[in-house]
Order: sequence, then structure tokens, then C-alpha cells
Amino acid sequence: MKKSAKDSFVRLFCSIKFVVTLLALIILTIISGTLIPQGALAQAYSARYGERFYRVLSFLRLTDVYHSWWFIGLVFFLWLSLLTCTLRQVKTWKKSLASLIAHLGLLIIIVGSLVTCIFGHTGFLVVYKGHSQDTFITAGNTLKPLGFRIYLDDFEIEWYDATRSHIKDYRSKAVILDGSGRPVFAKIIKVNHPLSFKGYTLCQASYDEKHGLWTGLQVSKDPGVQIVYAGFIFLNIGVIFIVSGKSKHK
Amino acid sequence: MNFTLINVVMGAYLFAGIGFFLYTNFQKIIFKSFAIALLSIGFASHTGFLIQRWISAGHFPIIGLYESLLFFSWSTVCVFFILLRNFKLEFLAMPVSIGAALIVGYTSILDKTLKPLMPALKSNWIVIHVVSYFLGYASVAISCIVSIKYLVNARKASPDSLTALDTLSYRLIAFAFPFLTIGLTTGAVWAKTAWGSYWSWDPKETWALITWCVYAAYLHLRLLKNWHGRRGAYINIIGFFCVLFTFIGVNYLFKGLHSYL
Repeated sequence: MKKSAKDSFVRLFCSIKFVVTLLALIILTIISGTLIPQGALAQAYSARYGERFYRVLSFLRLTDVYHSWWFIGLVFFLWLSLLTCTLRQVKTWKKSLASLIAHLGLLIIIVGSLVTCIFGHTGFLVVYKGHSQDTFITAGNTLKPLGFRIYLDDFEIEWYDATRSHIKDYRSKAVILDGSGRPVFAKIIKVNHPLSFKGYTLCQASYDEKHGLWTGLQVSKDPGVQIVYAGFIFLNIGVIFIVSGKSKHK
Repeated sequence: MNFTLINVVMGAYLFAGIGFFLYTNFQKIIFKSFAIALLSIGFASHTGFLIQRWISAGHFPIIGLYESLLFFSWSTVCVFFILLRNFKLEFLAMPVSIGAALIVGYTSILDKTLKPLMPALKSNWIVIHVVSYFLGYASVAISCIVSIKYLVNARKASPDSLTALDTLSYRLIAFAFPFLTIGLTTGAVWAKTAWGSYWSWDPKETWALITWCVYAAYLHLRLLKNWHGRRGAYINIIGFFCVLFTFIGVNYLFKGLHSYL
């Protein structure tokens, strides 16, 4: 009896119909997220959709669908069915090692993104020239300590040409200070060249367009990113080998 | 910038297309050799033009709609040549040549000024991210043509020729899928250094993910559920609509991080 329950569970979760249905539901959900503005203010939704429809959207979590419990639930079920199929594959791994690696990669990516979702946070900070900053504003509009202090030595815009028609770089000359205010190290933060310290990544995001007195940095802390990257490596290797193996004999 | 080479490209592709058309109608081998020679000359000049543009721009030439379309048409012809070695692709020669000629022709009315790279695009990831995507998109585009031909021929053609079309469209997707995977994942890694997080549900990212899922579903249904023929062809065409939407539609309909075209 117990065994047959397990069998039918495996049969359901490994059935391609079940997986594709899940995938279709997930696709429809994320499409809805590109059509309905995400994480906007209540007033903006009411103005756009009317009060009553906004309440329906909000009840269904369609205004922040990528973090809704039911979307995460769908992804969890996809993960579970991937896991079941992959475990079943292990028995015959010699036949399809590449496919095993690719699916393992996907499992790892989903775990990593869940870690990001739960433990990661993003925010924003502004620091003025000649001043320092040790807090940032989170996405939920609360102040949070960085755990260190960042001092802005200078901010400048580098141009491609003398006529100043095209911007080459935004450069924030930053210095990291320890608890007692002593400099630890200095770095020029540019777009594509973020500063990483104590698990935080600070990216060049905006600046004072009027007077050039401050710089705006995107703050993120994400313990899931290494897991996701490991998953990417597995996925890519797996997919490349699946396809190159297939073309040989079929 | 000198645009002589690109005019040569357009002329060569156009006449190659006409040559392939004459070959399919009159079956004279001379037309085919002539067309293949022209397509090769066109492709060589196309490569030359891209290199010339690369040198004068100082960055890999895939910035803005003009360079993107030129690179996309180059990738399509490139994929065609790669596949020509292993498959019978004769019926594809004309649509590929004419399609490439039309795209190159269309670019002549676009803004061609050399623009320096904006800060967000100054990254080593740009080459692998964009080249993978364009090679992938080129082969799914060809695959879509094959699937359409399959559906058009489905009633009258012989089962053998239909199976050949069906297999070819599948092989093209199988060839494209690793490129789509590399493109998606390198894009995420690049986004982490440029914007601070590897995934921000930006419309372009989201639609690229949807496209990837559709092709993943296609491959699984085909390999595990034997979705050959008609049903496979329909999913393949849906997949290509997703590609078009990701590549072009998203830029017109949404404001996102990816607004470079």
C-alpha cells in the first residue's frame, strides 16, 4: 500500500504532462507580471484599474506576483517534480549523464533563487562628496545599517568627447572606512565595476544631475548568487553535451 | 564610414536568391553554383563590413537597431552555411538569401551614425551574450521557416519529405538551445555586475525566460512524448513568436532596463 502511494506520486510528478502543465501555469503567471505593473503604489493601481479591480488584483497577489506564495508554490512543485525525475534518472545515469547534469543545474538554480528571495535584500544609498554614509534605504522604505561606512572622495562624469555629447563613465571615488573611521581600501565605482565588501555589492546607479554633489548606489546583499552561478555552470555544460551527443546518433 | 561593402552584400544576397529561385524552377546546376558563389561573396563582404565597423566603432558592432539587424542577418547566413555541410537545405537557400537581402536593405534607411558605448554596455560579457543569442535566434528563425513549410506541405507532400522537414526543424532547435541557454545565463551574470542583481523581472529578461521555457517544453514533448509533426511545428512557431516579442516587441511595449535599441 505504502509503496503504491509512492509509486503513484513518482508517476504523477514525473509525467511530462504534469511538468508541462506546471510550466505553462508558471509562464502565464510571469506574463501577467509583465502586463500588470509590479510593486507600484496603491493609488497608481486605483487610478489605472479602478478601486474594485485593484482589490481583486491585490487579493490575488497579482501586484507583486513574483513574490506571491502561490507563484513560489508553483515553482516549488516544479522543483519537486524535477527532483523526482532527476532521482529516477540517477539509476540510468550512464545513459544520460549530460541530461542529469543539466537538470541538476536547474535544481541548483531554483534553490539559489529561493535563497536570494528569502535572505537577499536590495536597497539604495546616497552619499555626498566629502561625506560618508553607513545606512541604506531598503526596497520596503526602511533604513538599514550597512555594517561599514562608505566615504565619497569625489564623483565625476567622464565624456567621450570635448563637446560632451556622450557619457563614457560615471565615476564615484569611494573609500571604505572601518568602525573607527580609518580607511580600509579605496575603489572607483563605475557602471559594470561594482564595489563588493562584507557581502554587500554597491553598483553605480544614479547621480545628482543638477550639481553633481552626490552619487546614488544600488545596494544588494545576496547569499544566493554563488549557488545560482554554480547551477548556471551545470546547466550550460549539461545542455551543450546533451545536444552534441544527440546529433551523433539521431 | 564607407558603405560600399554593405551595398555589395545586399546585391549579392538578392541575386543569390534569384539564382536559387531559377534553380528550383529550371533545375539547371549552373544557377545553383552561381547562386552559392554569390551568397559566399555576399557573406565574405558582410563579414568584412562588420570587421570594418568594429574597427571604426572601437567596440563589437551590435549596438542599436542598425548594427543589431546587420549582425542578425550575418548570423542567419552563417548558421545556414554551418548547417549546409550536414543537411540538405536547398529549399532554404532562397528564403534565407532573400530574407537576408531584405534585412540588409531595410538597414539602409536606419540611423547609421557610430555611437560610443554607453557605460552599461561596456563589459566583456557583451560579446558572448549577444553572439550566443543571435546565433540561437538565427537558427530558430530558420527552424520556424522549416516548420511553416511543413504545415503548408502537410497535405500533399510525401511522408518521407515531411519527416525530413520535421527532423530538420527539430535539429535546428537542438542546435539553438545551448546558445539560448548561454545567452540567458551570461545575461544574468552581466546584470549582477551592472545592476546589482542577477534577475530583476525586467520585461526583456522575463520574455527571454518564457522563450527558453517554450523551447525546453518543445524539446521535452518531442523527445519524451513523440510530439512530432503538426503539434511540434505549432509549438515551434509559438516559440519564434516569443523570440520576436522578446527581441523587438518588448522594446516598443515596455520601458525597461534593456532599452538600448
